[in-house]
Amino acid sequence: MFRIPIKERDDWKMLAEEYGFHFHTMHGERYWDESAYYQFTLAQIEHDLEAPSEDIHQMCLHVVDKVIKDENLMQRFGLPAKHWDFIAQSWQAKAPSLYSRLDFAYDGKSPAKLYENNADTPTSLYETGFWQWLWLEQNVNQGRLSIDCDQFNSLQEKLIARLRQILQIEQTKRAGQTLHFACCKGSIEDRGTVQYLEDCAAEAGIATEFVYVEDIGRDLAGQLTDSKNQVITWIFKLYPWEFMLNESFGDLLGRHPVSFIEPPWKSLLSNKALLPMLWREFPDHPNLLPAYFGDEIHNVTSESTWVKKPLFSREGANVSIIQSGNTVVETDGPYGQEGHIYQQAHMLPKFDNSYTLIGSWLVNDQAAGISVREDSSPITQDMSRYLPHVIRG
Amino acid sequence: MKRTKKINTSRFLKRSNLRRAPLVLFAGAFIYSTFFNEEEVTYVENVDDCMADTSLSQQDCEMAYKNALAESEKTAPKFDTQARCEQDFREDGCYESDNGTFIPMMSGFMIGSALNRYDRNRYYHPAYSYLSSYGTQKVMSDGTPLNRAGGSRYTVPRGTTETSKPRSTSTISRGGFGQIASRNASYSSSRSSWGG
Repeated sequence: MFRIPIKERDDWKMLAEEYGFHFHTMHGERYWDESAYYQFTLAQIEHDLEAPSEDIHQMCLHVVDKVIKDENLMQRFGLPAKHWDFIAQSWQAKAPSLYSRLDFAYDGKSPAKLYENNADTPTSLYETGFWQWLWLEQNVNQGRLSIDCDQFNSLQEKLIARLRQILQIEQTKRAGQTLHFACCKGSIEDRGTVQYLEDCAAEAGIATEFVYVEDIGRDLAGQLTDSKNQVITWIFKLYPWEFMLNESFGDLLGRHPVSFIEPPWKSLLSNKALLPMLWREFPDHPNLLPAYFGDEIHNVTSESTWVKKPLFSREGANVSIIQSGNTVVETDGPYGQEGHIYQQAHMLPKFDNSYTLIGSWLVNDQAAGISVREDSSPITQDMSRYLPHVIRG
Repeated sequence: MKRTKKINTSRFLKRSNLRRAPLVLFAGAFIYSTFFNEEEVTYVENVDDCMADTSLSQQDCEMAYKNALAESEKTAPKFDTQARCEQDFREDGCYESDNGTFIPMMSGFMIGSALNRYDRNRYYHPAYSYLSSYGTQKVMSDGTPLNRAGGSRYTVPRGTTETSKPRSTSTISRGGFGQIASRNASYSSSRSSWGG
């Protein structure tokens, strides 16, 4: 695993404009960074990332099954009890999932260690499935990269195939389904991610509509509506379950049949309570870090460094690093009232001057590719940079 | 190969670049509509028009008409009051539907121009006369306009006659989702995503 500098494509910003990739630069700082790329061997990809991702995904599904059947465990996930049935029903009905992203610390040598599972609203999807694919294609065609370079990235192919499958499942429930897509107002990044999925859905032959999360309405009977007053029966929402369940329309959920992507049971996986549950069920697994619930502080020894994470933290908010009982680094944010967990610290590897995090994608239970992000801080936050990668050798 | 084999990049293109794609001049509605992702339909007001303007038989036209009426009940925009409905559609252009809401009368319906007989896998969407700020315009139940292509022929987005429109209802309130995001947004000025 190497970080290799490369010349940027002369026209990439113009291309980004044409393809509608509007968030390559955010808040005046580079987000998409093609001044360098990461190179992996096929063995690193297949043995160290692809196989462990599929294993961990299965372990996660095992945890969901266990937690859903046990109220004492459900309690630990910080989700409102009035919605436990709604969550459990989606699991029992095998409501199909589209995708998720596991975040790993991986240095090319030692086993990849799981940081967390972005199972509900993973982003950096467009950059991975489409944009870094195009980067490789063009660099190979223009002779800057060797023709034997490959990429671990079947994301787009698998997304389209999975959407086609989910369409078939939906059509057995109702004829002529429209898939609504929703994200919040004010985020170019989220709108871009959802637009990409709308394009993938169109490729899969699905009729789509868009509505902003804030514009979703309800009728007298409690059915959800879009801004054209059309009834929503099938929706992809780039909006966290733990928010929806606690908002005023949350009480309408489950009253009328609506299929969600991601399904409600994903709220157990995008939750940091997953981490101590995994460690409890699969102790000493080479790809897991020791993790404990907030009330298991006796396990949090002062010989190790620990990371304290709120159950619902997003993009590195409200995370602190605890060394010999003292907080040494702390990030800001609005989370933490719901409880927290401790995870043994495992520093991200450093390449040049950057801390590097690997995101490993899953679609339909299969590993589907990786994304590489770099940050100047050891806690990856939303302003980290995205770098492309290749497989060679 | 560990990556996606082929990508239909044109699907993901948001703006065409004329320097890359030299403008080709051509004639013919078919090529025109294919190029712009559209399909052609015949708009008819009733069964008689349908028999005159399409190659469908009387029986086929009656089935298409019934199909359109049923679609209209399901998918037409719904309003709480007749007055509110008539603001968007013409006076006396709305009626009370079964569930007590008011919906516009359909002004006609559409038949895919490529069809020469009734196909039950197709949709015969109703159309309405919408009072826009530019004058009366023919629209589908979700507001998609019909663009005139000559005579009774119109263009609509490709795939229209193959897909249904969602069932519509009358919305009584909005904003019940997104509340926590707007509360949390004030914590960080660099906040760019609710994903992760």
